[in-house]
Amino acid sequence: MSNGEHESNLPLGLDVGTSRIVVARTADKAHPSQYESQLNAFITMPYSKLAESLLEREGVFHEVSGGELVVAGNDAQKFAEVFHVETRRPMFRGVLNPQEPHSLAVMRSIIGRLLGKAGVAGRKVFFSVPAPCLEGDPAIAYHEASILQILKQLGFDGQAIQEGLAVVFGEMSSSNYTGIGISCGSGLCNVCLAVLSVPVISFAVPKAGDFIDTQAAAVTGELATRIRVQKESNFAVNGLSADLVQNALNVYYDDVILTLANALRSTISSTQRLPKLDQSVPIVLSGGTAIPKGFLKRFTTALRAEDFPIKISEIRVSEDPLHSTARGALMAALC
Amino acid sequence: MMARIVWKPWKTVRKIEKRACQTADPLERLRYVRNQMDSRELSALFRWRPVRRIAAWISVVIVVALLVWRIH
Repeated sequence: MSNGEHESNLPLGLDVGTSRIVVARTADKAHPSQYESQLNAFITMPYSKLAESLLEREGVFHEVSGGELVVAGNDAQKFAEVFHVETRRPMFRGVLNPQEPHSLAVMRSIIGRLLGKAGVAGRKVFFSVPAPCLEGDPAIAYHEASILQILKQLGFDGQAIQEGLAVVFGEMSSSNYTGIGISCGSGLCNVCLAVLSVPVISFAVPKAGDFIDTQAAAVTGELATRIRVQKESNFAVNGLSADLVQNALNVYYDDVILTLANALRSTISSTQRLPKLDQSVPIVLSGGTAIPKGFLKRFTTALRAEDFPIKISEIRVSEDPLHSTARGALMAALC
Repeated sequence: MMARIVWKPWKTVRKIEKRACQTADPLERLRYVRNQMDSRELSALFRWRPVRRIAAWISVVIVVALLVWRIH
């Protein structure tokens, strides 16, 4: 069996995020994972033969759908900036966007582009799904079934793993997979407390990166897409600032961090059948929303402001926060 | 007997943790921990054992019995 053939049999990890879809693969079980990602967004433009041939010539990731050209993935961002429009999103708050008629088709084409067809029928893929929000979320079952269907059509054997648990698998080998994994993404902050790899508490907080972008855009009159670009390029969580956009970002980051810390404290406190943890446990933060400088310090301050129901050994941001979930999903698939 | 009931599951957890720490490769470690946890009944392993409450009740019963005995 050649290397390529061998690689095409190995399981994959897929992080199906509101903002990005990331695939983790490994050449063999002894080597580190490799990652590839696409923006989970698209824009549409009216179909014309000229535009289509132009997109084809430039190698732009697109599809023809009805009377429209759909540009998806990383290329959608470039086009949105050129035309000064908002990108459209197939997912909203961690699940398929019910307001978006193209959602399923775009997800299918992005996942298909990242994974390709399964080399061998039934090749294993573990994909991330969100945990239910505290007020409940019936759309998760539909979302999970839709992703499974897409994977099945590509010849894969899909299996869902909760995003927070994937972070625990990807980050907490030193504590024997005991700890709190938090994925601060775009749509949701997913949390999982696991003990020896067993998820004990999982929940999601519906305030994350998108909430920051839309709220900051609303008060500054900017486009949310532009706010996101600014947030990802040179933003630090460091209190109030003279710059209008930076100031708005700080205010809404603070809101997200406080909501997350309070939800974590109250959910763990109110869980009656919590396993007895006699040792302190780590908290690992991952995801794009946890990247800005100052996030960790602000979160630690918010968490330590009041008593926490379990002992915490350390709070840290993942060394590779954009790939933690995909890495954890891959590890689960390789087990 | 009670000490055995309380101690045994935690001895199992300790054993899993100790053995897992000897595995350097994160993937092997995860595989080991998951196998161990899958093969056990989690509710038994993590069941909340109200040791303090049981001890408090036994103390109350003893005190009441002593009081009754002294009064008579």
